[in-house]
Amino acid sequence: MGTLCNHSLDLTGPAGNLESPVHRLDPRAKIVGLLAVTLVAVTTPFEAWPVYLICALVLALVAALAGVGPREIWRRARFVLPLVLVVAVFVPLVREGGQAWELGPFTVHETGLQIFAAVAAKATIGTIAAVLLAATTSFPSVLRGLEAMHMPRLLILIAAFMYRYLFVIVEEAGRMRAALAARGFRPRTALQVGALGRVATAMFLRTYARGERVYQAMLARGYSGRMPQLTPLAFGRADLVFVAAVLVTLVPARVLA
Amino acid sequence: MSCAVHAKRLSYSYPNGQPALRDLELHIEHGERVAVLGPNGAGKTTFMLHLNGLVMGDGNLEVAGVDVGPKTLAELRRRVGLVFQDPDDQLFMPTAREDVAFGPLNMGLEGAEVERRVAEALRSVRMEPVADRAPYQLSMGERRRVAIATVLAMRPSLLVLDEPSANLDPRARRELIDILAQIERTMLLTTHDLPLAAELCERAVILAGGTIVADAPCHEILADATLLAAHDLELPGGFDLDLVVPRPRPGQPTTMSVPE
Repeated sequence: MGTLCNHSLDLTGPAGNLESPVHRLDPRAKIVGLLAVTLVAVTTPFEAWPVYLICALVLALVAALAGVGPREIWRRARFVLPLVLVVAVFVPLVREGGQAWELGPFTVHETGLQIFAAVAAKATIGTIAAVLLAATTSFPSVLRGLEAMHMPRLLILIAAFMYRYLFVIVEEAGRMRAALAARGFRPRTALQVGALGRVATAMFLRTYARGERVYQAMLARGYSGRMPQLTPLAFGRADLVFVAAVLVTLVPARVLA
Repeated sequence: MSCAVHAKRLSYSYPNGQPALRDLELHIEHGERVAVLGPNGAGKTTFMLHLNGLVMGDGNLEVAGVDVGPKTLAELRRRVGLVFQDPDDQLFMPTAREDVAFGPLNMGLEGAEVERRVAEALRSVRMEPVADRAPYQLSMGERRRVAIATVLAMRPSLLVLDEPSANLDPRARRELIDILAQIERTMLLTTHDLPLAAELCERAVILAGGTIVADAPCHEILADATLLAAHDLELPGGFDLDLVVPRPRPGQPTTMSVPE
């Protein structure tokens, strides 16, 4: 039962060398460091290519230290990256300026092409930074880091429960889909998808009832509105060194650009 | 510390007005193991929720020396460990270890003491090897055992289990019975698994229509096929009640006699 649909969700877990220095960093250090890379890439002017290069090098170094290979990065990035790039791919066609080339029915402009390249670089750097955070830090640790950084506790709780029960709900949805298929449900026309609406309703009611039961189970073990932590986070020297190294490399490059 | 249950004229209706418990009368003494039997919809789960103050009806209810009421909830939940029917409802933390630590941390315990209790609870259900796994990575039998550990870590004096053998394969069920037999607690369990009740409990009650309709030594109740049939219960075909060897209590060589 537990293995029904878990392969795609397993992509959210850590990968690479789990004992690497990067994996062992405090989640706050990784959130700050990788967020800094993203922010620098996003705010850099279109033509400042050396900054993008430095960002890419920092990410490559982190990936190498963590033992997360290009294949693993691609396996995760492919879900996000194409969506971002599809939006940007029209820029060379509409943004005029510089040289122009005829490409069948379209005209490609030089300025547009430059902007596209820069947007693609920003998107790629941001995505890979997020992928590296997810590959070196478990989702619960990321949440604990965010909580320690004073994100609203309610949002953290919602994200934590969503992550925990996603697996349960995906299993339930899989079973209901199997039950529909077992009774010959193969929608051919739009009118037949009504059954899916009823499945969605049933899913909602089940999820709602489960929410009630989970809350009762929490109360039964003395829950009083505050999630207790087993081991407190510790921001040590290695974490400081990591954040400092990232900032010292990127901030001057960004300022000089 | 008392870990008895005294329910006097306990009544409860669901929010839609449908009665769930009617004048329920049940007295359980320290050290007893009692099986609560009954058909689906008889009010078993509702009664279990009462024992932890999660649902409060009318009438008198004293559990583990605590008068159940809004002011005594924290103390009540410390003394009564409730294991829910679906482990997925009970395991909500990222790893088994953190889930087992949830109760002790809520009790205000810290560091080394929490670690000690987590280790002890996981050991008693033989689940130390999976301490750092996420709930979805565990089998149903493992989830159930971790769910039991989550309440054992609070060292309750009364252990209440709702359908402990539901959805388990025969081997996981056998292991569960072995584990429960080792636990030294007053124990109350609801079940449709009558052979499990025969092995673990010396006393059984039948809950039907929201009230206790039979209360006797387990063997006596299970041997009364007419009584069972009247409440939609039956032993598995070919099952011989007389061949069941009741589990000895931990620290006791023979089965405890039923306290009168």
